[in-house]
Amino acid sequence: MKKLFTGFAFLVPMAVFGQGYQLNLQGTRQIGKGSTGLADPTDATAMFTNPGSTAFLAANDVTFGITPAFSKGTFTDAQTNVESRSDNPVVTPFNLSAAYGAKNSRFKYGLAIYTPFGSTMRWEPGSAGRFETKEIALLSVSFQPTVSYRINNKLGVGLGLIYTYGHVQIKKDVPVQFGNGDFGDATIDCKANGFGLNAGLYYAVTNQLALAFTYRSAMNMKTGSGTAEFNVPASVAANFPNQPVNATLPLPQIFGLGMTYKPSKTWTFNLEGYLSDWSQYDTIRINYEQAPVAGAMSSDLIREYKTGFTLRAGIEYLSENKYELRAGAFFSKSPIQDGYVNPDVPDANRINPSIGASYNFTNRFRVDAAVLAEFINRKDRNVVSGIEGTYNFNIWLPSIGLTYKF
Amino acid sequence: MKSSNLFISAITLAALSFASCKKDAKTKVSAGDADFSKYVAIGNSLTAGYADNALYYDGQMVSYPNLIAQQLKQVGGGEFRQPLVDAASVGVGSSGNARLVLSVVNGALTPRPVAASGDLSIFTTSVAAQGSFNNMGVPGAKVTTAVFPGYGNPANGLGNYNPFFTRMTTSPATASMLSDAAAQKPSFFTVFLGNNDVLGYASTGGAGGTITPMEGSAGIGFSASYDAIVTTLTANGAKGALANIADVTTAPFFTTIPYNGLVLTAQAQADALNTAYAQLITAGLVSTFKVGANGFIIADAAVPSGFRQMRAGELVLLSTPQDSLKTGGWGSTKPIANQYILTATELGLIRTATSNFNQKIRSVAEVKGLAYVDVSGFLQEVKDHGVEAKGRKITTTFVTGGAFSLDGIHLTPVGNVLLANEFIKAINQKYNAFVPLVDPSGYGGVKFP
Repeated sequence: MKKLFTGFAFLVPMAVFGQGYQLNLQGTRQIGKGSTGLADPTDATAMFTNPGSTAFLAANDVTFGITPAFSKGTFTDAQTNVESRSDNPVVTPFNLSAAYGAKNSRFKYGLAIYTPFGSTMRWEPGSAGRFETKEIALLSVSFQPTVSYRINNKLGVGLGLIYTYGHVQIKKDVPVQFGNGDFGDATIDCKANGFGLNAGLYYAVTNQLALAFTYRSAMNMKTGSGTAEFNVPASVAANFPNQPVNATLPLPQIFGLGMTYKPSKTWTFNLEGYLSDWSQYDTIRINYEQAPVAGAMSSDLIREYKTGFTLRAGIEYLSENKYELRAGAFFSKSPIQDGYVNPDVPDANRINPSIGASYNFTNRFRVDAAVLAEFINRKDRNVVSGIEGTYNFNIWLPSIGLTYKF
Repeated sequence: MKSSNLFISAITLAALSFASCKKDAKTKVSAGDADFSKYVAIGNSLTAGYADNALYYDGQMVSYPNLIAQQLKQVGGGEFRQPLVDAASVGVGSSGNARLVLSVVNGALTPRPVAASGDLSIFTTSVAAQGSFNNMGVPGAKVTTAVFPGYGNPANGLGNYNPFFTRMTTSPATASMLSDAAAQKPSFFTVFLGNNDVLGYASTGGAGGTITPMEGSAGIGFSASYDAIVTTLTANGAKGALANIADVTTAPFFTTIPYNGLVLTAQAQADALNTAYAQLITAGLVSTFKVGANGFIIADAAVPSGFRQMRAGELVLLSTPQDSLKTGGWGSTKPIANQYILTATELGLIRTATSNFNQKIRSVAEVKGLAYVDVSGFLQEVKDHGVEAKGRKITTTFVTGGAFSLDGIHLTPVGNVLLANEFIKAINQKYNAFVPLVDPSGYGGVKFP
C-alpha cells in the first residue's frame, strides 16, 4: 500500500502527445505534412510553430482548428496472456490564433491559444494495471501572446510568453477490499499552471531555401488546489484521509531545427528535427499536505524520462487552382526508457503518417483538413511494478481548420 | 495535374501498408512435454484452500490447485473437482470453529469467528458421491498420514482419524489420501506436503505434536513416506511438481507479536519488576528492566527457575491470548506459557527438520525428473522484500500485507494466486510449456469492515 499513487501521471501527455506538446496539433495544415512548418509559415499558427517566422506572413489572419483524437488500445500481459482494453473518450484539442501587423510594418503581434496536451485514458474495469491507473483525464490550454520582428528581408525573430493552465483527474483502485470484495478507489483532482517561453529564428537563405530554429523553455507546472479523495472501508479510512495535495511537474525544454525547400511555386519540402529534454522528469513527488496516506506523506513516481527526439518530413503541393495537397510523416524516439512504461502513458518509438488538403474558397477564406494516424506498439517490463506486456494503440486524429485573412 | 494523381496514389499505398500491420500480442500457449488432461493435487490445508482458520467455500474456490487447473484448461487440462462445502456455510476449522473475519473490537481491527460455532455438518455430511476429487488437499495431513490407510475411519477414535478426509473419501475405513489420489490415474500431479510435519509442533510452541522424523518406514518416517507418495503417483509415467516447505518465520502467526513486546511506560514499573526478578537478573536470565521495550518473561522448563526472559530471535505465537498480554500481566508478572512460545532450542529443531525435508523433496524431484517448486524461497522473498502483483506490493505482514489470511498461516486469495504462479513457473520451466500465469488483479487479500 506504500506506493499508492505510482500511477499518478500528473499532467503527463498521453501517447498521442508522447513527445510533449511539440506534436503540433496547433495547426491543421502542419498536421497534414508530418507536423512540419518550422521554416514554412502559412498562417497565424506560425506563432506556435516558430514565432520568428510569423513576421514573414504576407497577410494578417485568424485561424481556428480542432483535432479530435480517437484512441483505442489494448494491453496484453506477457505473463498471463490477459488482454485489457482501453476505450478512450474523444478529446478535442483546438487552436485559435490571430496575428496582426500594420501594412509595411516589420512587426507582427498576435495571440495563440491552443491545447498543448490533453488526453483521456480509460481502462476497462478490473484491468491489469488497475492499481496503477484506471482512468486519467487531462485538459490544458495555453495562451501565448507573441511578437515577431522582421529584421530584414531574410531574417526574423520572435518571442512568445506562454501561460498554461491544466486540469487533471486520475482514478485508480486501492488494494484494500471492502467486505463485499470490492476494492477501494482513489481520485486525484488537480489544477495546475505554469509559465514558459517560445522563441524562434527564421532565415530565408534564398527564395527557395529557408532555415529555422526554435526553442521552447522548460515549464514547471505547479498545482494549486489539488484534492485526494479515497473510497475505502470505514475501518481503515483513518489511514486514507481525504486531503489537499500538491506537486510540480517539469515539462521539457524543446529545441527545433528545420528547413524548407521550395523548388517551384507548386512544391514544398520540409525537413526538421526536435530534441525534447525530459531530464528533469525523473521522479515526480506527490505531497500529501495534511496527513500520511497508508503511512507515507508523499508518493514518488519513478519515471526516469530521458531525451526524446523527433524527425519530421513533409511535402506539399499547391495547385494553380484553389486546392492544396500535402502529406508527411514523423519518427519519434520515445523519452520513456525501457523498464519504465506505465499504463498511463504507453508511449513508444513510432512512425506517424499524415495527409492533408486545403481548399481556398476565396483569396481570404480557406478550409484545411488533415488526418494523422499513430500506431503504438511497445513491449516492456516495468522495473517498479513488474507489469510486463505489450501495449497496442491506434490513434486517429482528423483535423479541420478555418483561416480568414484580412 | 498528373503529379497530384501520383501523389494521391502514393499516399493511399502508404496508408494501406500502415493499416495492415496490427500484431497479435498474445503468447502461444503450450503444454510442452506434459499432459495436463488429468491433474490431481495432493496436500494439506494449504492445498485444500483452507483460510481464515476454516475450510469454507470462498477459500476452496481460490485454492492454488484450483487456480492452476483453470489455467491448465488452456492447454488441455480437464475438469477439476473439489470437495466443496456449501457456499453459505460459515465453514469449519480444525477445532470446530467458524472462519475468522476482521471486526472492529474496542476500536481495533481484530480477527473474530464469524459465528459462535463452525458448521459441524461439514464433518458429518459425506460429499464422496460427488467425487472423485482432483483436489486431494486434506487439512491437517502430514507426509506420514497421507499414506495411512483408514485415515478417515471414525472407528479409530477421536484424534486418530481426520474428519476432513472422512467427508470426501468413498472408503473411510480403508482408503488413504494417496490411494484415492492414485485411483484417479492422474496424468499430472502436484505434491505440497510436509508443512504439518513441523507445524503441529511449531504452532503449539513445541508443547503439542511432534516433528516427523526423517527415518522410519512409510507412515512413520518422512523419507520413506515421501518416496511412497511420489513412486505411487509416477507409477504410470505421470509428470508432476513437488513443492518444498517454507521456514515458519515467513508466516505472520509466528512473527506478528515481537519478543520484546513488554513495553514499560514508567520507571516505577521497571523498578518493581527489577525487584521481583532480582535473583534472575543476577543469574543472567533476565536483563534489567527499563522504560521502553523489554523481552517478555516466558516459561522455560530448561532453566532451573522454570522461567526466564525472552531473547531476540525467539517467537511469540499469534495464538497467545491478547487480553492476557495487555492486561493480565502475561509476560511480565506471569510467564507466558510454553505453548505460546518457540524458544531458540525449539526453533533449532524446526529449522533442522525443515531443511532436511526440503533436501529430501529436492532430491526426489531431481531423481524422478519432476518440477521443483521453491515455496520456501518464494515466501522468504515475500517476507524480506515483498513482491509486486501488478502494481500492488504483497508482503507477509499480518492483516495488511495481503499474502496471509486472518489465521496467519494460510493464504489469502491473492496469496494463493502468487503461490499458484510459482507452481506454474516451475512447471513451465521443467516441461518446456507455456501455461499463462493467473492474473492477480481481481484477487484480494484480507477484507476490511
